[in-house]
Amino acid sequence: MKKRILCAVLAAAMAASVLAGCGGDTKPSSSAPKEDKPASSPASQSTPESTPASTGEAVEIEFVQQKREAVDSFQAVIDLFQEKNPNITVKQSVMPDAATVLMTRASTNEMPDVLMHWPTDSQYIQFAQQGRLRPLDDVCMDNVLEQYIDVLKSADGHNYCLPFSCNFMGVFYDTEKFAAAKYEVPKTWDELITIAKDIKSKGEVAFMFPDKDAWTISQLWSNIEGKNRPDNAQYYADLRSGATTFQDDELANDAWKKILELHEYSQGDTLSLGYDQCISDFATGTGYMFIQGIWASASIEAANPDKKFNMFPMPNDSGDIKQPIGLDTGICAGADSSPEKAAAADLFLKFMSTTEAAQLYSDLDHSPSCIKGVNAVIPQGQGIVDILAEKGVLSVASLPAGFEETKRSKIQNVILNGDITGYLTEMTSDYLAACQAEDEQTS
Amino acid sequence: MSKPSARAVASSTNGMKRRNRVMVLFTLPVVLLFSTFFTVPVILGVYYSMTNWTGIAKDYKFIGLRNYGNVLTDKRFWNAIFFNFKYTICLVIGVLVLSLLIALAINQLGKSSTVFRTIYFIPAVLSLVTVGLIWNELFLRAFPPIGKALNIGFLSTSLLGNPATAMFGILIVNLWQGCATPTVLFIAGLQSVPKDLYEAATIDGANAWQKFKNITVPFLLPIVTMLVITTTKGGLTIFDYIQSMTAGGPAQATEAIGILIYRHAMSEGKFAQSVAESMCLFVIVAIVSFATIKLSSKKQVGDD
Repeated sequence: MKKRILCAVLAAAMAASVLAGCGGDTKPSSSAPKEDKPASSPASQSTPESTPASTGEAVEIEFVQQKREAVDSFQAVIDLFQEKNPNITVKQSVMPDAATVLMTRASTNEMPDVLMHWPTDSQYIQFAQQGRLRPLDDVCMDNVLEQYIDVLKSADGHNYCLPFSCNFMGVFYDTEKFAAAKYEVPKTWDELITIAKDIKSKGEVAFMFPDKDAWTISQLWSNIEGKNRPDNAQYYADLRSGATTFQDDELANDAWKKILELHEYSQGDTLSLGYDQCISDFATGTGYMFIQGIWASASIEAANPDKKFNMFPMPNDSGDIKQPIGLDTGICAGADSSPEKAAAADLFLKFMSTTEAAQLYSDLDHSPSCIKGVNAVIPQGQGIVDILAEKGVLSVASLPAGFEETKRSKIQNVILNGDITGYLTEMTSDYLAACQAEDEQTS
Repeated sequence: MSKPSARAVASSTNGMKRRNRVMVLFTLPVVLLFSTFFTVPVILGVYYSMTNWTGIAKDYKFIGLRNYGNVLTDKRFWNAIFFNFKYTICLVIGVLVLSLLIALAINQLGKSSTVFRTIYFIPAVLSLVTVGLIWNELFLRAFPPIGKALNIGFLSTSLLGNPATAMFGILIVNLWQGCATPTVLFIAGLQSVPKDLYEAATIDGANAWQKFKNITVPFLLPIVTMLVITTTKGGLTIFDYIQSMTAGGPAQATEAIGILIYRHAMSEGKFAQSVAESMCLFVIVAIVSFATIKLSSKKQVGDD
């Protein structure tokens, strides 16, 4: 009998410790909203506490920054700001898996004073919708290029993020290898495949694919599809209304056939290679081409400063392409700051929106800017920068919350088994489920 | 554990009461801590598992048992559970067999055994994420050339890149690091076996296997019990090795339940559903633990 009781107690303890062990998620989830309700009172308590200390005194604000490649570039801007505002310290926090950290901080009402988020990311959109961010309409939007203001307005008509820099995707190529083999930059899909075939016939690797990191496959999909349909807003709306599906969409099917075709000229065993490993391999000489966004150029350069490479736009069948321009970094202000920290954050955001700060960032990060008067010099992306004025199309459509992650978790299946229709059919039902969940949330 | 109460009966009732009071006081801190940090969150968790909270939203609605319906009909959830069971069985067998073999071998060494004990213990002091990253590179760059040279099909590509073998890749790393502590425990167990029992057995004409089966094993049973329980728990809650090596990939092949819960909660915006998943896991683990304890605590030294 006693043994049985002991058994029961031990079993319960073990099961409970299981929950504790795996459920770092369980606990914050349950304790978070508990703090949610009385949040107003502790917040009002903490404010008077800090007010007397910091009027005219030093203020430290936290800047959670998600783009790991851009830490130094942002730090340079911060240093310049601190020089001009000696009483404000901006602490840049960089962490792996920042989205997770932000998520937990949102659930405990501890949003950072300033944060870098991706303006088309579903988490950012949820933050904006759920009042986790402060509207910035009167803070720092004056010096932003016109075309970025209206498209980024949230459903309530406010701007919750300062669009800061842009990005684009293309194909990095090793200019020395291309010159040695006398290859021209391909203008059409057939030319690209002809080159790839020639490289393969020499026993070399045409394309490097880091498929172990599923997001790279997802971006490869957009990279190819975007040349024919740069702006997805209408397409996503049609998917939502049921007017079309992924599996019925010609461009989606075409893009996937091309992804699989490109994989015939890959390094092989692509699912084993991670993004960072791939960058170091490409930088040190494996492969002729690496299909990625411009953000990878800083890492390639860091891995091998002598590497000679440039970028050309991913071609399509006809050669008449559009080049989607995506929003890269956006700067937001959290809604949980005390008044004096919020004031300091406003000053910082205002400074970020000046041409001076944006030019400094653009020079270091090699990215096009969303701020007026900035002249972007992007040595490794010149092949694309040259066509942006003529063929660039702003691409800011965003997906329902969580869908991108679900899509990524299943995407490697297609590389494994080549079942395009099966995957796209599954994506349609996942997409509709995500839309439905989103509608319920907002209703 | 079962003896003190018997003795208490023998003493006077007064003494027993005082003793009980002291006992209660001793358990109080644990009870308080346990209820504050476990029981309360678990009960709150039950509530939040019946809402549609995304983790970010400030408002959420009570939706009853719908999340549980979603979880129990979700193929991904059952795949993850199946993965965990498969993994746990392999892990328990692997840990017990390997660490026992290593312990037996080291125990035979005599004086030099300290050196080997240290060597075999080194993996245990390394950070898990570091270990994951190192093995990532080993699987990618070191093993495939060996596999190709020896013409072994499954080894000529990275184990982690193939859905059929990815689980074993993770298992190898987990065993490499996870056998260290059990080995030390087994060595301690082996050294606690009285030498004269072996001598007596030798005189009786027992062979090595008979001595192992009838003398060594009974002395090791308490350690085996404990290892089965802790390793089962470790297997069912596996998270960190997978997160640092495959993040659940390729194509969900190594998506353990811990990974699924984490993904649903942190990146797929289904916080409430992930809490419901945790609750289902709670029930499953409670049943498994109960069964494990029941099965493995039957025999110990002295029992027959």
